[in-house]
Amino acid sequence: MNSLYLFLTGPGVWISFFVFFGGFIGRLAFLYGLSLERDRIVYNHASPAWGIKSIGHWLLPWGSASMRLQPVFTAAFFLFHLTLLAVPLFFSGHNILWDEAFHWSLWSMPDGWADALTVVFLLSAAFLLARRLARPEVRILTTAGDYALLVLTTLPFLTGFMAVHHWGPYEAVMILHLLSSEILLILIPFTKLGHVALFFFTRAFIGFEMGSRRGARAW
Amino acid sequence: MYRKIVFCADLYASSDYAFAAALDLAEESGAELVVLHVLESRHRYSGQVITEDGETWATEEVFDKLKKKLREYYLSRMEKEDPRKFRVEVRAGVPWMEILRFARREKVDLIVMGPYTMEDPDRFAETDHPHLGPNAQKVTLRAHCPVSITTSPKQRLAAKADEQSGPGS
Amino acid sequence: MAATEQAGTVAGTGEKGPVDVKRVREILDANNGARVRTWLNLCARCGLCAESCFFYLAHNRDPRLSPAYKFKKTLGEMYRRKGRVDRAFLERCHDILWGECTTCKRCSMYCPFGIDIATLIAAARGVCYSQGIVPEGLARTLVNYRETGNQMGMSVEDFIETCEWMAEETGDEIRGVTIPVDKAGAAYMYTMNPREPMFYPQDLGMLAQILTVAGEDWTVPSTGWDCTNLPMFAGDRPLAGKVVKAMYDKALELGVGKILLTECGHAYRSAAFEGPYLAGIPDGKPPVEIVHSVRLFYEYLRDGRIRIDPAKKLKEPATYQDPCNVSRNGGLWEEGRKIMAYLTEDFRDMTPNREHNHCCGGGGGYIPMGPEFKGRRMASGRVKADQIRETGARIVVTPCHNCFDQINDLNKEYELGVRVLSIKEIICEAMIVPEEFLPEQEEEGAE
Repeated sequence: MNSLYLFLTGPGVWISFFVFFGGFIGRLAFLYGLSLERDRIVYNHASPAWGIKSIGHWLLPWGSASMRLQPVFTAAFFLFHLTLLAVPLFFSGHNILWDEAFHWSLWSMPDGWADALTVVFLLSAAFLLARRLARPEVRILTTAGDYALLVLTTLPFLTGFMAVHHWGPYEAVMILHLLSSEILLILIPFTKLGHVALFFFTRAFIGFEMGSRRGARAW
Repeated sequence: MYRKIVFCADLYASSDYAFAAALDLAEESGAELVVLHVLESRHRYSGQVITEDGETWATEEVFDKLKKKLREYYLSRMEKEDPRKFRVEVRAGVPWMEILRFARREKVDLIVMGPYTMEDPDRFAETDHPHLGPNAQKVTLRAHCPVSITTSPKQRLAAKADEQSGPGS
Repeated sequence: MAATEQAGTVAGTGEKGPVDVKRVREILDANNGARVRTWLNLCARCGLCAESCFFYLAHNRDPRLSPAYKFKKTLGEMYRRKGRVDRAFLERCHDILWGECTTCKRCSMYCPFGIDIATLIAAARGVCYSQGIVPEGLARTLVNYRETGNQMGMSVEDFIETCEWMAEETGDEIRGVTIPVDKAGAAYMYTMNPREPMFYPQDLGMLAQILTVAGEDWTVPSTGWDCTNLPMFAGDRPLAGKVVKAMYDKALELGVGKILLTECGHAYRSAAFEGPYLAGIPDGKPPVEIVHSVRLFYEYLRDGRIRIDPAKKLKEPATYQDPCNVSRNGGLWEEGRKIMAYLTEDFRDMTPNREHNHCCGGGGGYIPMGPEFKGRRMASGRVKADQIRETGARIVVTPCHNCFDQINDLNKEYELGVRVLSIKEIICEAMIVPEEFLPEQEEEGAE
C-alpha cells in the first residue's frame, strides 16, 4: 500500500496534472485547427460583446429563461459547481502542500467552511443524481457513463472529508482520495467534463450565431 | 358574337341551370364551350387539394380522373353525341383565382356560373339558401369579360325561345 | 411521380437498394468539424432542452421528443456506428428528423452549452437524403427546383404573364402601378414564394400597390425570383446552394441595391444566413443586402411613406405569430410588433413571445411535406393553438406562408375562431392612398 501511496502522491500528481493541462491544450489545439478549416462560421461572425453576454447570462444563477424554468435544479447545479471549484482550490490542506512544494499557494478558507461546503457539495450531488433518476426526460438520456462520472466526481470530496475527519482507515481512504482525484483529472479533458473549458467556446459561438448575426438572445 | 364561353362547374347540381344556359348560347353562336372545374386547395398557399378521396396532391392522375368524370356528366346533358367545340379543363388552387387566370389567358368572351357552391358538406343546411358565394362575387367583380350568374332554368342566355321557357308564373 | 436521378443522389422515396456507406461516411466526415464534434461530445444529458421543445410539450412531455434524444438517436448514432447504418435505421431517422423537428432553433436557447441542435438535425437530414430517404412532399418540389428554378415548377412565361396580369388588375385600384421586370439598377429586387404567383397572385399585386404608394424603385427578376429554399430542409445541400445562388447572381447581374423578400420565414433564413454558406461564399455574408418585408414595411410606417387610415385599423383583438425564421432566427420581432401597433387597436401578445415564442409546427418543411404528415402537425400544433386561444384574439397576423397555412389548419382542428392575415393585406386595406394614386374617376355619369 505504501508504494502505491508514494506513487500517487509523487509521480501520480505530476502525471494527472500533466494530462489534465496537456489534454486540454491538445484538445483545444486540435479543435482550433479543425475549426480554421471547417468552422469558419465561428470566425466570420465573431463578436466579443455577444460572446461575453452569452457566457455571462449562463454563469449567473437564473440568468437564462431555461434556468428560470427549473429554478431548484439551477440552484443545486450552481451550488454543485461553486463548491466543486471552491473546496479543492481553497482548502487549507491542499494549499499547505502547494506551499511546501512551490512556496506558493492560494488563500485558504477556514476548515469549518471547507467542511460545510463539502457537505453542500455532496448534497447537491445527491440531488443531481436523484434528478437523473426521477425526471423521465433526463433518465432516458442518461448513460452508465453519466452515473459513473457523477459518482467519480463525488469520491474525492467524500474521501477527502473522511480523511480530514479520520473516518475509516486513513491510508486506504487517502489512497482512494488520490486515485479518484487523479483519475478524474485525467478524464476531464476527454469527456463531457471537458465543458470546464469548452463551455466558454460553445457558448461564445451560439452568442455569435444568435446574437451577433440576428440580435437574438441565446438565453 | 361569343367565340369562347367558359362554364364553371362545381360538381353540384345547383349549377346545372347555368350549364344548360351556357350550352344553348354556345350552340347558337357557334362558340367553343369550355367546362372548367377548379379543385379547391385547402387554403391559400397550399398545393394540396380537396377531392372526394380526401386531401391529396394535385397530380396528373387526379386531374385525369376528374376530367373523365366531368366529361361523362356533362356529355350526358348534351344532345350531341360528340360535340366539336367542347372541352373539359381542370385546374387546382383558389377557385376564383384560377377561373380569372384561365379566362384571361384564353381570352374568354363570357363566363357562366352558378351563384354558389357547397363549400362544406357539414354546413349544407346553412349554405343552401340563395346567396352569392365568394367565388361568384370575386369573379364577377374582377373578370374582364361579362359574367353571367345563372340561378334558375328561367334565365336563358340564348336569344331564340325554348319550348320550356317563356313567361311562367 | 417520377423522381429525377442525379449522380450519387436520388430524390424521392422508393429507393430500395443497400445504403451507400461510403457516401454516408463522406457526409459525416465533412460535417465533423470542431463544432459538431464538440456538441456531440459535450452534451451533458441534463435534459434542459426538453422543456423548450413544442413537440415534447404537445405530446404530454414524452421524453423521446426531447431535442437531445432526437439528435442522439439520429446523428449521434450515425457517428457512433461510423456511418455503418442500414436502411431500416435511416427510415427511423427519417421519422424523427422530419416528423419530430422543424429546426426552429428554440432548443439552442435553452441549452446550457448552446448546442445548435438544428444544425445537427440538418446534417442528419443530409445523410438520409443522400440515400433517397426524404419526405415525398419535399422530394417533388426538388424536381421542380432543378427543372425550373422554383418550387412550383412555374415557367418564365407563366411568371411574367402573372406579373402583367397583376399589374393590370391593381392598376384599377391604384394608378400607375407597374411591376417592372428585370429593371437594372433598381433599389430593390423583389423575390417571392412561388406559392404566391402560383396560387394567390394577389400577394404580388398588393405588394406592388404598397411599393407604388411608397414611391419605391423596384423590380422583379425574370429568373431567380424564388426566394424559398426547400432543398435546405430536404437535406440536399448542393441544390440548396444552387437555388440561393441563382437569386444572388441575378441580383448582382441586375446591379440592384438590395434583395427584398416577401413575407416568408425560411426565405430569410436561407437568403440572409444559411445561403452564403450553402452557396460557398467564404465570409458568410450575402453578396447583396437582404431585406425582409417586415423590416421594409416597418420602415415605411415609421417614416410615414405609408400612412394608415386610423378608421381602418383592425378593431378586433389581434395577435402576432412570430415566425421562427423571422423573429427568433431573423431578429425582427420588435419590428413586427411595431407594425402591429400601427395596424391594430387591440393587440394581444402571446405567451411566451418574441424570440421565445413557440414554433407553430408548420416550418422546417413540414407544410410542403403533405397530407401524410398532417396528423402529426396538428398534434404538435396544440401548443400554438393553446397560446392563441389564451390571447383571446380573433385575428392572427403572420408574415409567413407556412405559419399562415398551419394556423388556418389549427383553427379548424382546435376551433379557435380566428382568421389569419398577412401584413401586406392589412396594409393594403388600411393605407391612405394619396390623391395622385387614386384611379382616374369617370367624368361622365350614367345617363
